Amino acid sequence: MQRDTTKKFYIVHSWLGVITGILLFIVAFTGALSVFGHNELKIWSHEGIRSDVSEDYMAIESLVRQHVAEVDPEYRDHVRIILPGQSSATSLFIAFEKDVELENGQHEHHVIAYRHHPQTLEQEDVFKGSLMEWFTSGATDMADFMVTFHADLHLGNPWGLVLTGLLGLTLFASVVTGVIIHRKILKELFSFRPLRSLRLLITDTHKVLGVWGLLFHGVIAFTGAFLGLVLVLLVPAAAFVSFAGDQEKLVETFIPEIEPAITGEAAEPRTGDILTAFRNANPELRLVDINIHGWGDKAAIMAISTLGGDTLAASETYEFNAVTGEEQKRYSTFGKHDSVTGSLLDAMYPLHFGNFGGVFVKIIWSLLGIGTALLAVTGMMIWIERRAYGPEGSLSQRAYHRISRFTVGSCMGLVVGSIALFYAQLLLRVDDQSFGFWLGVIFFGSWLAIIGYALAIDNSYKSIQSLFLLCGLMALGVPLANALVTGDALPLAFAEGKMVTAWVDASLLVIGGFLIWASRKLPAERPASSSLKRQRPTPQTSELLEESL
Amino acid sequence: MNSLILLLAVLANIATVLCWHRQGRAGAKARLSFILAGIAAFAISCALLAIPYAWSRAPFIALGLLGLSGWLHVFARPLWLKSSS
Repeated sequence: MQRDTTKKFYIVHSWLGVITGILLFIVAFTGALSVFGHNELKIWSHEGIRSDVSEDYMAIESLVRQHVAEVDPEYRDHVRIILPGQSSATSLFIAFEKDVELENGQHEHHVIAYRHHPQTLEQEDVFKGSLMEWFTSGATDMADFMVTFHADLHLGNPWGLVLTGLLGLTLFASVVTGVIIHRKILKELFSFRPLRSLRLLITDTHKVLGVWGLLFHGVIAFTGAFLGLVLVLLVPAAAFVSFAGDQEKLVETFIPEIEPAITGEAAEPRTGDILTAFRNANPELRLVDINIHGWGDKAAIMAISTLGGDTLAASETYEFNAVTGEEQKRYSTFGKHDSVTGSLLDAMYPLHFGNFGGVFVKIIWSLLGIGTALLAVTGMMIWIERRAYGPEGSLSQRAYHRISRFTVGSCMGLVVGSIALFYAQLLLRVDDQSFGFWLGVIFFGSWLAIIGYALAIDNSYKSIQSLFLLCGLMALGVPLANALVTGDALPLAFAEGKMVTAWVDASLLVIGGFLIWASRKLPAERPASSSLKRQRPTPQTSELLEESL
Repeated sequence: MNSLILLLAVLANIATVLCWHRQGRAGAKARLSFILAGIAAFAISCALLAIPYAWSRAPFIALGLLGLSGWLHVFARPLWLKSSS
């Protein structure tokens, strides 16, 4: 490739990175946490599901029968049972749905949902309203807050989704241009010179993070762009091209609804027996929800949605005859549409969130996600370093220092805000409806406070050191706060079998210890040997390019 | 049992990285051996991961592990060399 072309790609790579660098860090870091959002952080956030939730399926069946007798027969066409502690539900829900035609000709799902305690199965409340109202009525917790922030930065649909989708595209473009400009990519796999100079340390770290994590960064960027843009752009566009703009028809084609062939012959579904047999046959699967269509008919279908099967698709559904218990079908989310497209669509979500192989894969994905976040930070550092202390750039050194301080505050502030969410989850005493709001106040408030602190301190090295120490101490304090507030001290949690809670606390102790160790190792000021003589005003991109290659 | 398999898979991945590192500094004959050993180690890692995770997922997990093993090797090596010298 010609040198000029490489230089152009280098410029594109550099500017793409610096424009989106902080946002990429935000999305990548929250992504690394969101991997554990459902269900590890969910379980940690709710005392009711920390220990074993009820798996007494016969008792659940008798509750369903009790509610079936209470509701209007029109609601019995679709019975939904959502089991607690499996994905995002923190209580047992037994819901009955009916389709209502509105005055304007549109359809709306109405629902009656009974909420039961996850362990005692005691009824807690009943919800009546539209399906959409029911979905939005639940209390937000720190796990939901983090996952939603990763998905749309709390800007909602469409702006938030478009923004994160575009960030996925820019990351993908950065990966491609990075590969093009680093022609000696395989030789640089092991090039790490931490003791030569600060600039080499940052540059080598950026390259090593980029090259070894290349496939991951590319996959996460592509799937992130897809997931961000699918609802807002891709579905409407595909519907426009192939279904005359009818989006519902497109969705029905890819995810057809379950429709039992109603016989009119009455028969009692055997929910409890089927669930017990299924659980015994598949002890490794998480049973998320059960949908029974055509309740009371001989041909009623019972569909069990599961997580953790042996395919790449995150979720698999097993269809049974609800009366005889005979297995009829088994398919993934898009598996009914038997095509390559269906398999590709099925792979998008699990490849992005790493939820296709239990905690082991989640840890791998989370660590690689931290790598993506660090890739963005080191890219920013290289950009600033070359302008504040090198020949590039047209602003004053003071201006670049200000950008550097803002970057430090934004990135470290996000880490502080994320750890503050753990405290907020434990200590906030407000009603369910305003819980999400106060989580936001604490998260964004602490983030802004750290940005203010970083901007106020002249020496970025000193502020990074202090903020690492702060993060470390905060992380160490979470298990202590958890022990004081909920009584689940780490040894007790292990002893009582609250393994998820115990492992989250133990992980925070390790992370806290690492951050404190790192704060002691980080320099308190810029190493003198790293200062390059400023050679302005002649920018010599070609020389720097040579170094970077 | 699964933990042992996962540990072996991680070790096979680290072996892949070490083989690839050594091949860069080896002579022609040894280089080919290291490359083949590296590929074999990665295949073993995939095969091991396929036991608990099935073949449909194992290569993705192995590639993720390879990235982490590479980072571990490259970033930890200077510390290890410093302490051993």
